[in-house]
Amino acid sequence: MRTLQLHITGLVAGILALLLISGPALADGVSRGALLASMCETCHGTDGVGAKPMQSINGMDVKDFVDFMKAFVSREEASTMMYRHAEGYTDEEIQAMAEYFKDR
Amino acid sequence: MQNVKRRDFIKLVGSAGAVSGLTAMGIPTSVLAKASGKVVIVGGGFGGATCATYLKRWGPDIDVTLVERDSEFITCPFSNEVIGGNLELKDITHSYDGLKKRGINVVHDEVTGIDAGAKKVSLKGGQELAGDMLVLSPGIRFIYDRVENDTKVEESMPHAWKAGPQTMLLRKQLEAMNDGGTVLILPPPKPFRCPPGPYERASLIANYLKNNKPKSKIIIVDSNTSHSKQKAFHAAWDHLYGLGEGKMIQWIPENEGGKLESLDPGAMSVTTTFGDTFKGDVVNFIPYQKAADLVENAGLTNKDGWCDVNQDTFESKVAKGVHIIGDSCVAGAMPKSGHSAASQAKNTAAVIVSRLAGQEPPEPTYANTCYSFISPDFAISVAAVYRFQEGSIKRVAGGVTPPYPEEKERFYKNEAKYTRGWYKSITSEGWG
Repeated sequence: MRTLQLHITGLVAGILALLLISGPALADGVSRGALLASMCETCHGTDGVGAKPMQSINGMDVKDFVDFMKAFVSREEASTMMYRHAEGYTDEEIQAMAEYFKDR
Repeated sequence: MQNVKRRDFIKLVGSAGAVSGLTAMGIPTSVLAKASGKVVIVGGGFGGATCATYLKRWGPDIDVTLVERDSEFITCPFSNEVIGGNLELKDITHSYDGLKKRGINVVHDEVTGIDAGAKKVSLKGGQELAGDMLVLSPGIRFIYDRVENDTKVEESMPHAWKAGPQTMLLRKQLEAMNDGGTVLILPPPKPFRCPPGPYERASLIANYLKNNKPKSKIIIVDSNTSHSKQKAFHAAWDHLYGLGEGKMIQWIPENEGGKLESLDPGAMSVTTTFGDTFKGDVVNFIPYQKAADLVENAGLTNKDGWCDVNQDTFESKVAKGVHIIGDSCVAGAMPKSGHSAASQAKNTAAVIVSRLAGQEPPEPTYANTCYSFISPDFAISVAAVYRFQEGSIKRVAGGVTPPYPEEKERFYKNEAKYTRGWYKSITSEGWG
């Protein structure tokens, strides 16, 4: 019985962690990452897939997403619009956006 | 822990049993609570449609009802493209079928009254709709009597500031005008819906005139001393159309004689406080604006005629559980735009879903992007990111397109492409 309890505890912790990191789909609250990402979605579309010629930003590697956002601000990456938006967010916020879109 | 048996273990794995199982484990259900309840939204524009969409997306169990008078929505963004002859009204008209497919109850009726205390709206058809929360996104109303004789000029001097028949009326008047005619554009004092709108309108009318009636002129007799994206607009006008007295576009600011004293719809002329009279073959008089009658009559406006809200939640300062978004609310540094309304709608949806789930809403975040066409292949923009700081929405980043020729021609051409992309994305998000 004790072994089963440990198994259950581990499993529940796993389920809970999954629910929390999966954001709104399962936990049904609204994570900060989902709200931040919704600001991108106005132009880039629901789940990061929008009308062309806007870039689709779904399924992007987190590191690449963060790299692009930083390069827009430094102007190393040319953009007409993104340099003005990207500078408005902290590293932590950009990370949260990247993690949100990675799984879309 | 002692009570967890094999059957509970099975329940834990199934999603339906997850919440009860976790309760048994001593984990607070509030963390996982489902948001349920009823939300009634008034107004199916950018604010209302986007809020309905995100409420359903983030809280699928929430009963969302959207009340809208009209059976279709015609966007103000891109209506200057219709006035300039580059698009037709059908290109900027959106049905509500997409919202219905998302599980939103769309009720087409006119709201006759709002009981903010009871969170209830009355409809012309006799129905009453009550919600756990209300979201009001009713837009603007026009204020007349600011200028002498301005009350009955909608036909002779169309405002075209609510897209639809007025848009077509202004278009038809431009089509009927002879080459060599004068178009007067008369923007109201700030604040008004779509701050760059009158100047984008001047641009796209200029584009039409340049290609079809090149001897014609546009005079903007402005009740403001400055305007949105001014340097970028003026540089682009100078480049594409000519700017200044005797050129295709002339701008007269308030402090140089642009303040209106009276209109004479019979003579199709306007007189300014400096005593100058301008005659137009087409006159676009844009009236002074305040929040819509619906919120004014419900006692939700301040002394200036706009709705004060807590700018982190968009909850009315005078009515708990009543959220007011879009053009009718006071939103700190955010301009009155469709993009701002959509941004406010998402924050409001996050607040409502969180509260109905017994959770704390996430920290707010806001953004705006306003593109303006100078011609169909040349556009400029303003964009900003905002934060809630010391009780109001403050701009923390952003800027305007550098005035031509600080960037290459191609930059502005690309902005025009992105303008069209923006329109498609934001309207898909709103109406499907």
